[in-house]
Amino acid sequence: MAPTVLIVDDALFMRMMIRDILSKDGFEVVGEAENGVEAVERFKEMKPDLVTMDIVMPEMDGIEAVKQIMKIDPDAKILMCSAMGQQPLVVEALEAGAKDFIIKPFQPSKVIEAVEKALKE
Amino acid sequence: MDMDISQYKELFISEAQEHLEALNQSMVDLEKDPGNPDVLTEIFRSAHTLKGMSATMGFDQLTELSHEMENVLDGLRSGDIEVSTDIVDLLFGCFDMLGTMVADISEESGKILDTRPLIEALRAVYAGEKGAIAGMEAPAGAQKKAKPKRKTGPATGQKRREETSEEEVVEAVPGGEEEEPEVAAEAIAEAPLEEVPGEKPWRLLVTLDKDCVLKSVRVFMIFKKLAQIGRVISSRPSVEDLEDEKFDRSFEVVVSTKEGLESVRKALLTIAEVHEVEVVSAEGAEMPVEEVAAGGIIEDEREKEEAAGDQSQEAAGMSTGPVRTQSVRVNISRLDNLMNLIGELVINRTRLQEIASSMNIGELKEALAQTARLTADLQDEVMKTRMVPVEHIFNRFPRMVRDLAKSREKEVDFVIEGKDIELDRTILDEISDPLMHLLRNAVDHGIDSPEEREARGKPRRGSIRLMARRDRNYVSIEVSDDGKGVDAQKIFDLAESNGLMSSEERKALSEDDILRFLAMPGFSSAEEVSGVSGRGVGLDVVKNKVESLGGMLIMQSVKGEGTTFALKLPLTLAIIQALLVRVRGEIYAIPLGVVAETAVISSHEVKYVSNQEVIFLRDETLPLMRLGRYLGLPDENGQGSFPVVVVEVALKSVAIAVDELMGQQEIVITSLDRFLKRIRGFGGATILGTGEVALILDIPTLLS
Repeated sequence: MAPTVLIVDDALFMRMMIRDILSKDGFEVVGEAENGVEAVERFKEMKPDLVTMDIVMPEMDGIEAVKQIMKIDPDAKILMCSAMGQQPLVVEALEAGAKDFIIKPFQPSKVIEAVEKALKE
Repeated sequence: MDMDISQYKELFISEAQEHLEALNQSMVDLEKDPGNPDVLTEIFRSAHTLKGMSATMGFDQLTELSHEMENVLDGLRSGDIEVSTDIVDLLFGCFDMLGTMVADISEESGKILDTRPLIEALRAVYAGEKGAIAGMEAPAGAQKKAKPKRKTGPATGQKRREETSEEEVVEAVPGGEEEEPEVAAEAIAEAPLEEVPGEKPWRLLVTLDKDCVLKSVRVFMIFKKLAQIGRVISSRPSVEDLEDEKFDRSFEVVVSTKEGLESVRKALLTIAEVHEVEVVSAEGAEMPVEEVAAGGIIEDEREKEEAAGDQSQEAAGMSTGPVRTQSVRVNISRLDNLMNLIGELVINRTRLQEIASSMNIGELKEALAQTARLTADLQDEVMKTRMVPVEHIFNRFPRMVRDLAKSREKEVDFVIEGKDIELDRTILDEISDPLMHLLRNAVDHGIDSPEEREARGKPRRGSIRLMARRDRNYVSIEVSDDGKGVDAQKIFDLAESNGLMSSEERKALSEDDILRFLAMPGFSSAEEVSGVSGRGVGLDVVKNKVESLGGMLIMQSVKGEGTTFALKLPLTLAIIQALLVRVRGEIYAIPLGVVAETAVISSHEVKYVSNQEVIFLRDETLPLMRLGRYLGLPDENGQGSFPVVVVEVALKSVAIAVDELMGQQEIVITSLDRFLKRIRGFGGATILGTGEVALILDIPTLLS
């Protein structure tokens, strides 16, 4: 069965893009969320194999969402999506339990590499 | 990039525009309440998202400008920079530039804009702030309350390191002794490797991908991973240099671990962008020790978890709220299509009903009655889908009013009410410009200057209200100000002296008729109405637009107290009431909104006034327009009497001569294809119950 993915980003545009990259490569995108609160909810419902998580979002940011998801499932595999210039935030997310990160602008090959590596772990 | 970006352009543009609108809106709010952290966060987030999106699309100019903006916004947010009018103006300038860029992208104009001045201004603000901070801190030499600077990534790590407690060292170095953080580094370095039985030191050469971004974070991940399976003894270059990304693609690290070489390699290769891990030697201790890494980078997990626990409890409280509704973004043309299809369905249903009743099949009638109900529901649902809250366009106005008031040196409070009232998307798009006209007039001509206001005993600050309200089948949008008001008598004087009306006509006028004069095409602009009001600017345009949408423009004004314009608009455009007429065998639909009355005229009643056919209807002289002739249809020889439809647009009444009045009917508007759009005089087409196509006359353009 194709690995399932939950996409979290406040920009619809970004979600579409990640969705396309991943579904082209045989991943099944099972849900989307546009903020941290929604992300945690969706995660509980869907138990996806992987979550891609934006950092700067309304309601609840990505780092907080990582923390909460890790509490729900310590084995959760979360991939941070970050823009340039956010090193400290990425580090914080990784410390909170995120497995890896990808940098905007996304290069499909990098996204797939990161996703596959995160899933393998 | 090996993917086609262009398919995302449309989505990018619409989302970017939303963010720009939000930015403008929040900025106006910020100016009212400087330093409100929520608003600042909101602004920062929008700018940040915009940057990420632009970078993804490869719009470098947009990315660069939003990036520089983000730096300044971050300074504002952290309190390092104070909100000032200059900065607000600068940021507004940036928003405008970004808006222009997005518009250019959508028009594919390929223009290159000069963003240098803005970027330099932003950098100056940012640099100024930095300098100021440095100047403050240096002499004091004291550790001020830490203001986290997102910019300097590694520094944050550094700070954390200083704050770390003893426990973390113990955790980070498995089996190590308890040490003070300051000496932990030395301790690990000096600790004989043999002290941990079964561990072997490896010197590894780690190489990252060529195009790896955020190398420092990769290093962090590698060190973290190594700390899980062993301990990091040293690295070359030093950890600090690694954190500052002062290395090319590779670095050496000595790690002491019980694990075999292969599993160490594998563990590191699971990290993305790690290109290769090679073993240099098994004798790591020989390498000159530059700095010990592990204790520094790995944080106190326990402390973190505690913090996470607290926060997640708060957040858990938040998430117990109602589940947010999911939404899908659809192109408006899809909804138009859907509406058209439903329209056709309705038409077909009507035909079926006719057949059923002529053949008198009871069961079929019953089934059709059910279908009728379903189609009506369907129609209703699609209509609702097309509705959008007026806030979509209202949100642009505060910024405009602010800028205009500022440039006119007027003080204005702008209040918006009823943002969530919904209107058909098409109508909403159309009234944006008219509303802007009205608001501009309100600031320009309505609100009096602070001095004048004080002299009249009014508060210095004027107020302008934009309000939307739902009235049964109408939505009413009002623009009101508490300014000068319109002096009706002066307007009448002016109209009389300019020969626009006679003194008899004037006597018959009441103050309610004032709008008719103001809305005369070019009433004030042509006559330079200095000192009176100049309220006519563009009012004719506004009135025509509102009427062409099937709505009404109403004005109320009290001299010295203010003016209110109200737009009464139908909820939707897709289905309207129309009068069907026949001309030379063709059927045309006239929107009922413009129809004043119908009458039958005999041909001998047609007179000529300065070469123009006119008819007299109850003491009124109306120009006569023979629709057939206008449309270029063959002239009918038939004399005798014929029906006319009296239409009223922009205060002009015209009698339109037709061959036959067919009656009033609800019609579904189908807009004309873009090839046909340029033909003046037609607002669309509709399919009738009989399957015939009727063109809908666009009376305002027909008469102009």
